[in-house]
Amino acid sequence: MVNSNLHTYVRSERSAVSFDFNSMYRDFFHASPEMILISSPDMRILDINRSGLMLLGYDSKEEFLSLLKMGKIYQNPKNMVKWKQIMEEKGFVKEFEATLVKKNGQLIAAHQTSCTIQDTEGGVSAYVSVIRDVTEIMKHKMQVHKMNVDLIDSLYTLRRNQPKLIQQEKLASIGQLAAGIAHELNNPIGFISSNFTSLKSYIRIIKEYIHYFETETSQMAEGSASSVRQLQEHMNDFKENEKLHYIFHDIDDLVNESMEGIQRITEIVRSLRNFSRIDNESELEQYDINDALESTLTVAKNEIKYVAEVEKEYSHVPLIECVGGEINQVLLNIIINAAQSLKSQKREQKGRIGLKTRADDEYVYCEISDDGPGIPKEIIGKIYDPFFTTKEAGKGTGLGLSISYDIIVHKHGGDLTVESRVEKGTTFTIKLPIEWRTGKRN
Amino acid sequence: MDTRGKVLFVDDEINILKSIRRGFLHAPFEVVTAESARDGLRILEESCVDIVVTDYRMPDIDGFQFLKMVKERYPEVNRVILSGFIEKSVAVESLTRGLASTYILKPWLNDDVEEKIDHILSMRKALKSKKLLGIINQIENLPHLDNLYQEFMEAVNEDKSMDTISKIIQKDLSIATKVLQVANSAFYGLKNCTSIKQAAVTLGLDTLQDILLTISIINTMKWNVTQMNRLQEIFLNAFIMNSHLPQLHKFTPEAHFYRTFPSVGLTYDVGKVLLLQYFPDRYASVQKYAQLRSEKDFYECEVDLGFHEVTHQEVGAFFLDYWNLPQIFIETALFHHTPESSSSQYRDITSITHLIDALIYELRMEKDPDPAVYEHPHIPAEVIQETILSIKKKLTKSIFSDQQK
Repeated sequence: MVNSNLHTYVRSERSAVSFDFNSMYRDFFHASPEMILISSPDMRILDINRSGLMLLGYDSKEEFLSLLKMGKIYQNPKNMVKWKQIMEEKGFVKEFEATLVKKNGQLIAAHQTSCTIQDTEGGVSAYVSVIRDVTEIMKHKMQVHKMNVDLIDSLYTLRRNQPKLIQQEKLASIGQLAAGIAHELNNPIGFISSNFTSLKSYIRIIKEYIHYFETETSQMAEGSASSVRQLQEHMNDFKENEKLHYIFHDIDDLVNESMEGIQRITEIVRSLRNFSRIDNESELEQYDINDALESTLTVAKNEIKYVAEVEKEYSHVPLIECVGGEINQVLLNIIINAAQSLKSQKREQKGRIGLKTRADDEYVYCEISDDGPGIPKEIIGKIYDPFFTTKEAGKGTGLGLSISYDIIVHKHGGDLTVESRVEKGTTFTIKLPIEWRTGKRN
Repeated sequence: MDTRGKVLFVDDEINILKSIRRGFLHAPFEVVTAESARDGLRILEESCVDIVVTDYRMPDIDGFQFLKMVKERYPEVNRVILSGFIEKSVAVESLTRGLASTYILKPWLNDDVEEKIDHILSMRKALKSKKLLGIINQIENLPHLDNLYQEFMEAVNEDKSMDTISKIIQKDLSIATKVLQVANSAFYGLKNCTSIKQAAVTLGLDTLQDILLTISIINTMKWNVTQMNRLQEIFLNAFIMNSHLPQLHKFTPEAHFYRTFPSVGLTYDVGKVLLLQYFPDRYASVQKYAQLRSEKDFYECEVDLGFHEVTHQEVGAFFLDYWNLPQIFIETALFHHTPESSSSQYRDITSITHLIDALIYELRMEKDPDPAVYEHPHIPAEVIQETILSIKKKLTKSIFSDQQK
């Protein structure tokens, strides 16, 4: 039916407009929301529907048909040649990409899907093309493409900068550590050096006293000087003037307190050495997490001591096979975060930082908790994201937790989890396998 | 033993306090100690203390908060901050904010601390000497510095917004008007500011702070037309001093610790302002004497005329202290002719003030300063040469555009 109609249609080529169309098909043809174009094998345009006229911006079919040649609606005539080639070879084409020109010169990106209408002898009588405007889609596609390129670009930049950033985070924590340690050293060095200055003057006074005593007694022995009683009076005067009683009494305290100070400095330096493991930064070792927590506390003391009391609940846990320097970095990071969150509350009383260790057959667990402000639900999912930080600009790199997560989860095959309630506090749990599993390191 | 004063040390570490007690066992001042700010406040309540020296890092009330309380409750007590070596910028900030008169860094040297305390005690003694008080007591009503300036400085130090800061000045319409007059004067390049906020934005807070301080000082006293001319001269010197002092101070090793440089140049010669107001005869006699002896400056003439220990240096410093301005202001005023007597802390500032003052004096006398005479260990010779030229230019301008009335 259709075929025979079209057959007749093609036969009466020149009078296409007046062709006697079955009204139903005509309605279908014109009501179609897609542009439909009928063209002859020699590339003349035979008919176009209303959607087509609208899309290309023509007022009437007559105006459009006066174009006649199909080549005029393509921006690039080569497009048409290629389309014709395909049609002649295959007889159809699906979503052929072409750029069409509107009446006002505007360009349209289009997909042209065409089929061949054959006459009774099997020759080509016409081509029917459904042409869809994909300009908007193409625009989006371009955008997506551009975004993709940008993304790949930033991913590449990120990858390239990653070692640098990790280094920066390390430097930032080293800087923070250095400042903290300097503070911790200021006091003992301060009083030790002051004590030594005092000791020097004490010794001078005591020497003078002995010297005075010696000269007086030797003069007495020669019989040239005053009585024992007079000597005693002089000596007492001397004592009074130079506060010798105080000095005699104080000199032991001075030495003991200074020793205590030296002990403190030694402890700090020892922890620091333990902590930084300058000698074997990335080597596996047998690691005692309780010891490590103690060293970390010494190193971070300056951040903690004014804001929190530390409650320890260490269990007897097995040694872990791990890269100690890296785990230390994680412990320090989480403990300092806890201290800083407590500090940010500006609370009346000190907060609490809890350190708890335990173990099962396979894993050692370390819980670090605080009763600070807690992490709001909205951001808890982001805390391991690189560059996410709640600290003011310039205060945090936003990499601490993301690096910690990487160290525990990816490098050591453990787990780092967090539980938090706003205004109640936060608990981080570090879970580390007791035995090193090979192949986890990348 | 006769002690020259009582010094309270506050630190949360007992070992520090004990080492200090033994370190100053033979020092000419009495040492008392407190383990916390609270204990410190109790001691201040119960006994008469001359100086408090406090640690910066302490639990509960830290050093800054403590000094602030002491400043409010016991303004007559001198304040010193003791802080870790790496917190030097904190220490310097406490100076510019007027919380402390000097700082001591941990670990400290006992001799150094003793020297600083000694200096403060002798300065206090100088400002309370019978001879000086005898002069001051002749003034019927001591001029009171408008607290607008203090309020303004407080807001600036606490990084308050421009709006808040401008509103403080606008509280006093007469001051606000004068600030605008000065802001629009030839000296500041006729900026055409119509509001305080605009003045604050175009001139910058530092300049606004200078203008406000100047006006506050002038406003503390009443002036007649003849005095006004002298006053202009003194303040033009002060403005010149104030613009060159930070420029030259930049070359000193300590300069980078100053986040903002306080406007000490403005008040270095405030003693002259006070003498002009309250002792015009004395002022005139010194000037008359000086006119005949061009080789001598104002200070030297004062000494010649028997005003030793009560020169414009002491009178100025007394009032700056009375007005509760930071120590740096007091030192600069008290030692700008005798920088060798200032504390080592402020020696750079006082010596540069001395240098610039001498340049201004010579240029006013229309002499050509010999660059070889004006040497400074930190400042390059060509900078001093530039300063001479710049002062020469500035001496021809006027600060008060239409304020002679």
